[in-house]
Amino acid sequence: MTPPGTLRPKTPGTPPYVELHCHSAYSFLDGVSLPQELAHSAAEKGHVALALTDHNSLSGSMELAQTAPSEGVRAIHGAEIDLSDGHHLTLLVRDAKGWRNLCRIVTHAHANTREGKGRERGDPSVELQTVLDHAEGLVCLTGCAKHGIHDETTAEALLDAFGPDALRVELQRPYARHDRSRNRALEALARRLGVECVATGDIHAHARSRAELQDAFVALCHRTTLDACEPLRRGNHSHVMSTPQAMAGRFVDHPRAVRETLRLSEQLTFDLTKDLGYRYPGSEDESAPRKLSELCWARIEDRYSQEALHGATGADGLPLGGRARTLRAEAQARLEEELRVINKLGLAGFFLLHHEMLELARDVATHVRGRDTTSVLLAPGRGRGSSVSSIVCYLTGLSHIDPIAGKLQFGRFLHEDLRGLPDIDLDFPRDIRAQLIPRVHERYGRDRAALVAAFPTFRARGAIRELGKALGLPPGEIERVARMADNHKGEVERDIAATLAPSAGGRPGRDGPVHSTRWQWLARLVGEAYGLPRHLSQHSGGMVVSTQPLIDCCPVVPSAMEGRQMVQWDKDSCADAGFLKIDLLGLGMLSAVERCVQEIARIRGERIDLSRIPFDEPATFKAIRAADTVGVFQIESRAQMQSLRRTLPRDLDDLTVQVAIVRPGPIQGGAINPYIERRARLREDPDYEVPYEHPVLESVLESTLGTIIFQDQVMQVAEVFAGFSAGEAEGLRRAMSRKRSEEAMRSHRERFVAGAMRHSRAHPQTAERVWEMVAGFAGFGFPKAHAAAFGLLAYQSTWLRVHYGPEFLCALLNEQPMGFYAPDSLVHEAQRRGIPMLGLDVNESGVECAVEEIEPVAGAEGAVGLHMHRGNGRGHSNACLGVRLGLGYVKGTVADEVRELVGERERGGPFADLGDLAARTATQRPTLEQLAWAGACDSLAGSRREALWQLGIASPGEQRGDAVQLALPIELPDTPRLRSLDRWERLLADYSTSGVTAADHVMAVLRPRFSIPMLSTSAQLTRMPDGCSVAVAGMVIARQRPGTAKGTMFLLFEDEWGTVNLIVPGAVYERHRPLARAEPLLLAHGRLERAAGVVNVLVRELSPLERYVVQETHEGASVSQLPSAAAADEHDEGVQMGADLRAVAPPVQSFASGRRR
Amino acid sequence: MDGERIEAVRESWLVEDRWWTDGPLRRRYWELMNARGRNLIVFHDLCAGGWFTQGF
Repeated sequence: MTPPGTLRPKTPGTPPYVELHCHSAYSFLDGVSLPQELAHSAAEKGHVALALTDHNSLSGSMELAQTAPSEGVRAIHGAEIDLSDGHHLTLLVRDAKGWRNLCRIVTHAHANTREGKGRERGDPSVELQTVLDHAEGLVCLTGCAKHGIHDETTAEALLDAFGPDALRVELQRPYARHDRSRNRALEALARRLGVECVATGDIHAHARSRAELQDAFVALCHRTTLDACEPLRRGNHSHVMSTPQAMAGRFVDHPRAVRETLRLSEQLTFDLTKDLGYRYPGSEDESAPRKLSELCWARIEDRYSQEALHGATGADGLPLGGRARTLRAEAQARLEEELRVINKLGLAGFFLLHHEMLELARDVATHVRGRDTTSVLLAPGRGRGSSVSSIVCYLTGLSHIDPIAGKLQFGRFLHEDLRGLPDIDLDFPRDIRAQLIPRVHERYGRDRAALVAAFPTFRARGAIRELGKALGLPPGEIERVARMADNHKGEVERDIAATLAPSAGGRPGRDGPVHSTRWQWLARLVGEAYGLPRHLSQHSGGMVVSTQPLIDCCPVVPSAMEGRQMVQWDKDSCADAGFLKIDLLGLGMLSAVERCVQEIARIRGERIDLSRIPFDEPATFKAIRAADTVGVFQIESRAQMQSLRRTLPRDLDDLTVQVAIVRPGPIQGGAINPYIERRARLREDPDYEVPYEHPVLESVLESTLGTIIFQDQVMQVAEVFAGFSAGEAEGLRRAMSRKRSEEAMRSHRERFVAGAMRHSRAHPQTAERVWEMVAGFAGFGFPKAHAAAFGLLAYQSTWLRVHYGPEFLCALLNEQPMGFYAPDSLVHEAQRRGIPMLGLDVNESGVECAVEEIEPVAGAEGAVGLHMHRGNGRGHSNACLGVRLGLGYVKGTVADEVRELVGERERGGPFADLGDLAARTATQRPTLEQLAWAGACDSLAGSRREALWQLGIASPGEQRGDAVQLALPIELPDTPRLRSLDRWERLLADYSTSGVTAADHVMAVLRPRFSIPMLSTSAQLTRMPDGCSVAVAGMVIARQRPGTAKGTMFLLFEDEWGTVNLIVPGAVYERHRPLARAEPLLLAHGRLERAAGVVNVLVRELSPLERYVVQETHEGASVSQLPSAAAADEHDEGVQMGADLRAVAPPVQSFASGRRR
Repeated sequence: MDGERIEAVRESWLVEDRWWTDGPLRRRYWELMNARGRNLIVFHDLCAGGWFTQGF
C-alpha cells in the first residue's frame, strides 16, 4: 500500500463511475473506516471523487474535506437520513444553501434523541416533511436497497420538493437475492417519475481486511452476537470499496445509472474548506480595538504599580523601586506590541469575547459560592495553555500569571503570521463550570452556542470486551483477557495467549482456547477496530459561539447532560472550520483547593488568599524537594516524585520546568537525563558551562540547560536554528499536536535540516540531532506558559498540604475522582504523617468527609491510625484535627437516603440505637445494611455483625411523598453472641463498601502470616545499600507501562510504612505478564538501585503473595516448613484470601487510563 | 444443467457468513430458469469448491 499523501498514477482516462454513497466509521458501528482511509483507498483504486454519506451525521465531513484533496480525490458531502417511518434517504450537497439545509435536517433528526429515561441516546430520525422543507441546494437519492423509498406516492412527494434535476432513484447491487428484480422495479419507477436512476455502492469499508469488522459492528450495534444477528447483517462483503470499473461492472444492466454518477457528481461542487459564513460575536465590532486597549491600559497601572509590585524581588540587583519601574516599562512595551499584533490580526473582538466569558463566570461564581464566603477571594477561574504568556490575557483576567515577571514569550500564542484563531483555555472549579456551560448557552442563544464534540475511540480493553461478546466468547474469559490487556495496538494476540495459557508463564497447548478460531478472530478484529471512533461524545469543555445560528454551519445535537448541546465536529474539525473554540475546562484541583480554603475557614476561622501566600516558603520547597507531595497538583506521581529528588526545585521557575519535564515530549526528545545531570553539575560547580548542540541555541534553551522541555522552545529552535518564519514554526507546532502528527512531522523534517544547514551553517549531523530533539515533541509537551500556570497551582496545593494537612486531605477525598492516588492510598499516606482518620459513624459522619476537632489522646475513641509515626514533627497545630470519612463514600447506598439520614440527625439529634435510626428515617434496608457492613453503625450496635442482626428486626420508616411515615419504634431484643469480624474480614468489608480502610493496612494484617527470607519493608529499603538483593512485598497501587518505556513496566507497591518503586524490565514483564498486570498483592525479588536519593527495585522475579500466606495458628511458619498436605491446605487458604482481595481491592493507577480495576 | 438448457439467469447473489467459526461459508448463488420454464437455484462453494443445487 502506498503511504498516504503520495501521488500515484491514475487509471488512464475518466473512470466510469463515481461513488456517491459511502459510510465511514462516523456512522458509528455501521462503517469501519476513517474518512482519510476511504479517501486514500479511493485514490488507490482510481476514483476521482467520493461522497461521504454517514447515517444522520456530518462528523467525518471536515476530515474528508481536509484529507481528500491531498489524495487527489474531490470530496462530496452528504448524509443518509433516517425518516421517522423507518425509510432512508441519501442527501447530497450541491451548494452552500444545501449544506445549511443538510445541517438543519441532521439537527432536526437528533433534536429528540435525549428525551428518554436517563437521557439515553435514542435513534435519530426526521419527518419526511422536514426533508421536503429543506430541499433547496440538495440532491436527493431515494435511498438504499433495504430501507430506501420505493413507493410511488412518497417518491412523487420528493419529486415535488426537489424537482427532476435534484431527485434520482438510487440503484444498489449488494449481491443480495432480489437485487435485479428490485432494480428493474426501481428503474420503472424512475421512468414513471421522469427522473434518472443513479448507481451507488453503499460502501462501508475501505479495504477487504475490515469487512468482517463491519459484521461484528452490526452485532455490537444490536447488542447481540454474530451467531444471533444473521438477518441483520449484510450477508456478504460487497460493501468494500472497489475500483470504478468493478462498480460499473456490477450495474451492467443499468449503464445509464452508472453514467449518471459522473454527470451528477459534476453538479456537487460544494467545498467545505471554503468560507462557511461563520463569525464569532464581536469579530465585526469596529470599536473592539479601542475597547480592548482602554481595558488593558486602565489595568496596567493597577497591576504594575509600586504597591502591586511590592513583592518583586531584587534578584537582578536593582533596588525595589527601580525593579518596579523596569517591570512596568517592560509591561508597557509588551502591551503596545501585543495590541499592535492583535489589531493587525483583527482579534480584538476575540479577546473581548473571552473577557466577557470570564465576567459571566464571575457572576456564576458569586451565585455558586455566595457573597460572604472565603471563596470570594478566589478568581472564578484561571488560564492554562499558551495564552498565559500574554499580557493582554493577564490584564483582562484571562490569566493569573504575570508574563513579564515570569519571562514568558507570547510568540507561541500570538504572532503576525498566525492563521486561524489562537487558543485560550480557562480552568474552572467543577461546580462553577457545571453552571457556566448552560449560562453560555443562554447568554449567546441556544442556537448560537454549543460544546465541541469528541469521539472516544476503540482501545484494546473496550474492544476486547465488546467484540469478545459479539463473537460469543465466555464472559469470564473475555474479562480476564481485557483486564490483562495493555492498551497498546498489536499486542492483543499476546495478551490472549498469556491470559489463556494453561498456567502462568507456561506455553499454551495447541488445543487450548488460544488457538480457537473465535479467539484468533478476536485478536484480529480488535486490531482492526483500534482507533476507530466508537460514538459521539462531548469535549471536556470546548465551546463554540457564533453570531449566526450554528446549525447553518454544522449540525447541533443534544449531549448526554441536560441543558447542553454540541456540534457534530471535534476540536480538529472545528479548528479547520475556523470556529472560535473557548475551552472552559473543569479542573479537580481548583475545586479541591477551594474546598480546602473553605474548610480552613470553617475549622480555624482563617481566611486564606492563595494569590497572596509567600511563594518562596522554605517549608513548602523542602517538602517538594523531599517529594513529600502525595495529593498535590501535577508533582505527585511516581515518576514526578523520582524526578523531584533529583532536580531539587528551589523556586517557581524550577517548578515550571518540573511540571513540564515528565511528559512524552521531553522524554522522547531525550531531554530529561541531560537536564537533570546539568542541574546537578551546576549545583556542584556554578562555573560549569552548559553544552549546546549549536551556539545559536543558547538564546532559546538557556533556561532549560540546552534541552527542549517546553513546546514553545520547539518553535523558537525552528526559528533561530532552521530559519523558519513564525508561521512555519506554528505549522510545525500544529503538526505536533494533531492526531496525524507522525505523517505531518515527516514533511517538516527535510525543510528543518536543510534550513539549519543554510541558516545556521550547522553540520548535517548536528541538524539531525536537533531535529530528533524537536521530533520527540510529536508526543506531547507543555508550552512554558501552561507549565507556569500549573507550576503555580502545584506550589499552592503543596503549601496547603504542608500547613493545613487535614483540610487538604479532606478536600481531596471530597473531590474524587482526581489525581494519581486512590482515596485508600491518600488516607494511608496521611496517617503515616500523623493525620488521624476517623471512621464512618451514622452519629458523626456527614454525607461528605469533614475535618473534626478531636481530643489529643482520642486514639481510642474513634480516631484510628494514630499508632503510626505519631508526632513526626510536622503540623503541630494539626494534632487535634482529624478527618472523618463521609457516609457518601459507602457504595451501594441511595444518595437521597443518606442525605435524609444526616438531615434527620442534625434536626432531631443523635440516634439512640438502630431501632431509633430505622424508625426516624426513610432509609431503606439495603442502604442501612451497607452502612452497617461498612462499620458506620458500630457505635449503636457494637459490631458490624450485631448491627446487621439488629437491622433484620428494626423496621425502617417509609417515604410518603415529601414526608416520612415514621415506623413504630420497636424495642430490639438482645443480640445473640456473634463473633466479631477479624482484621482481615474487616478489611475486606471496608474495601467492599467504602473502598477505604482506615484501620489496618493489608500488609500489616498479612505480615505476621508469612515468613519470607530477606523480606524488607519499604522503610528498611531506604537504609539498604545500592546493589543488594532484596525481596519486597506490597499492595500494587500503580502500574504503568508507557509507550515511551520500551516494554518496561513500573509498579508502585504500598505497605504499612510507605511506598516502593519497582522497575519490571520487559523480559521479566513478559514472563510474569498476568501477575504484573492484574495481581493486587505481589512479592518481588530483585536488586536495589540507589542513585541521587532515589530508591528503586529492579525486579528479577514476581510471585503472588498469597502463595506465602499461612494460617494464623501457624504464625511464624513458612509453607516450606509444613508437611506437604498441610502446606496444600495453607496454600488453599492463601489462594482464597487472594481471590477475596482481588474482588474488592482499590482501583490502581494505570498509565493513560486513570485509575481502574 | 442436468441436460437442460438454461434460458435465463434471474438473479445472482453472494453469501459470506460464519467466518468466525470453523465452518465459514462463501457461496455464489444463481437463480436460473431452464428451457422448460422451471426455476432452479445453484451455488458454487467458494471455500471447498464444487457446484450444488438447492431447492426453493
